[in-house]
Amino acid sequence: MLQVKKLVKSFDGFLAVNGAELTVGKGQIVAVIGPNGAGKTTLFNLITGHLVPSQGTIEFKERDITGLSPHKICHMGISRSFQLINIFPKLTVFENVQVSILSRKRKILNMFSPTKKMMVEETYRILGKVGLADKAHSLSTSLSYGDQKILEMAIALGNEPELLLLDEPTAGMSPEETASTIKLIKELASSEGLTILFTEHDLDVVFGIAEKIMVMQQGRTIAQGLPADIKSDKLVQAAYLGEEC
Amino acid sequence: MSTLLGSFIGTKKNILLLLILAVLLALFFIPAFLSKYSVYLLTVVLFTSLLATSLNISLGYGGMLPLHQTVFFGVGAYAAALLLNKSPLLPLLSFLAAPLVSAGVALIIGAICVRLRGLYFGMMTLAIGQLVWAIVYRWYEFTGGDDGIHGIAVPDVLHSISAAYYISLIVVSACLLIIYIILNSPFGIALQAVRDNPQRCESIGINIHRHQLIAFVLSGFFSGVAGVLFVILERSVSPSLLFWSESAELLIMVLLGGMFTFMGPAFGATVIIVLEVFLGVITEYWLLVLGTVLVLIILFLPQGVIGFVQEKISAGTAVERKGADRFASG
Repeated sequence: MLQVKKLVKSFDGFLAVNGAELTVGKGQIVAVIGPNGAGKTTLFNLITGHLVPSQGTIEFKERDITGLSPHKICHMGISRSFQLINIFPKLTVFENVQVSILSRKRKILNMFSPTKKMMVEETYRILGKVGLADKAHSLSTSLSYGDQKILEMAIALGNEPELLLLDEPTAGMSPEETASTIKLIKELASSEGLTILFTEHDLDVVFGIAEKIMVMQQGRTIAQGLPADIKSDKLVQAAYLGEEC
Repeated sequence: MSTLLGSFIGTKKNILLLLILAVLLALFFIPAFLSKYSVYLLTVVLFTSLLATSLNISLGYGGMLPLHQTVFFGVGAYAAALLLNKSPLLPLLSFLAAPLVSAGVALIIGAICVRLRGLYFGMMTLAIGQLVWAIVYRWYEFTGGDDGIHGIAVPDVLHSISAAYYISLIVVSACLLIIYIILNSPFGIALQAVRDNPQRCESIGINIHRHQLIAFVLSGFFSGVAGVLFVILERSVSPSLLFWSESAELLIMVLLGGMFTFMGPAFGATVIIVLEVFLGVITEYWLLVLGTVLVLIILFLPQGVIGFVQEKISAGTAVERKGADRFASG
């Protein structure tokens, strides 16, 4: 479904991503791991069009999407959540998700229908699925940190993506919140038929849900494969897992 | 419980509607009891309110910083004046075409500026706006240069001040209603989302530059409508309409009323015009008062007067809001 080949991103000579390779198959849950500064978030920004690659190609459903603008990539079926909370602070929880659905349905240029009555059922369906329906009319910033992270994901779901990118979905969460978020991601993947690509620091989370793992170090892909293979990979152990396992 | 709550919210909405209706009725009948000069002033208040609200489409709702909004007001006024005096168009068509000229100018300026952010956007609008002013100021053959245009061929039926007043009342009410509808449409909600978080908007599939450009053009259009109303009232135009200091005063009006509220800019326009007139009679240093008011607002009411009032009201209904949440989930 997603093919990243020999991807390079240079910031004034600094190679944040330097030859990343990634293959994601339909319906897979794939994790990208690596130490801080390995280039995981930059890789995500390249895939979603927030950054333009210096070299290499990105293909989605056999179409070249390298260098397309973020809104176009989104309409092709790739949606994402962000590492730091990135929601609409002056809108309610309901509106946060609603605006995403309106965008997918290409209704955001409609100037004459009252928004209040639009996409109500669909918005509640998504909010219900992630467990935020009872907070629908609260201001988004009044939610707890964990709930804001969930809202972050709900906004991405509003786009009804085929490929969902989650950048550290459980970062900063309490162990309970982390556990319920993992459960949620698993449920979403099976109930919505989503393909999920995520980065994560917590290796328990990674090995708990990932069907495939890609390991990055200094912008390079040093290994890619099944969790069991990654665990036993000498290069990976030396670079990354060694200190933590 | 839920029906009780529903009817309460219903009545609150009804109270607001009744209030608007009462204000409209009062504005309709009040000229009979006022001097000609007061009616003239009320007309100025009306179209300035529209002008301030139109600025707020891009400022408060769109998160842009147009430092030179009155260019579109001036262009609308000049377009109406030139069309009435020099073109064979029927007067009604001239009035309709003038705001479209403003929108066209907004499209050109907007296309250049929307890729810039914050102060860069502001300085670019200011620079291009002053360029338009310089053209109007210097092009004697076409715009009359610094003399402006006098004796504009406004149809006779609109020559009385009360006619100008009623036209303004109808047009401004209609435009405010349309702007309100637009700001509460999916377009308006997405515009506020772009204001709050452009990066996130891109990743949910919104073309942020296109969205802001459309808002900027709309804002230029409605400023142009205000310009037409100015021409109907004054039957003359001068380049000072497009000078940047007019835009500065307009920004103060919006800040005073509250840029994150719908009625704030109109309220601010009313207060500033009234202050200008009454203090202007008492002292020639009325700008000193304006400056002091501005400092006090920025220090103590950064959300503006209407923003402050709305905050107080919503704090009072927070308990009710919680109840509504439960109702929604239940």
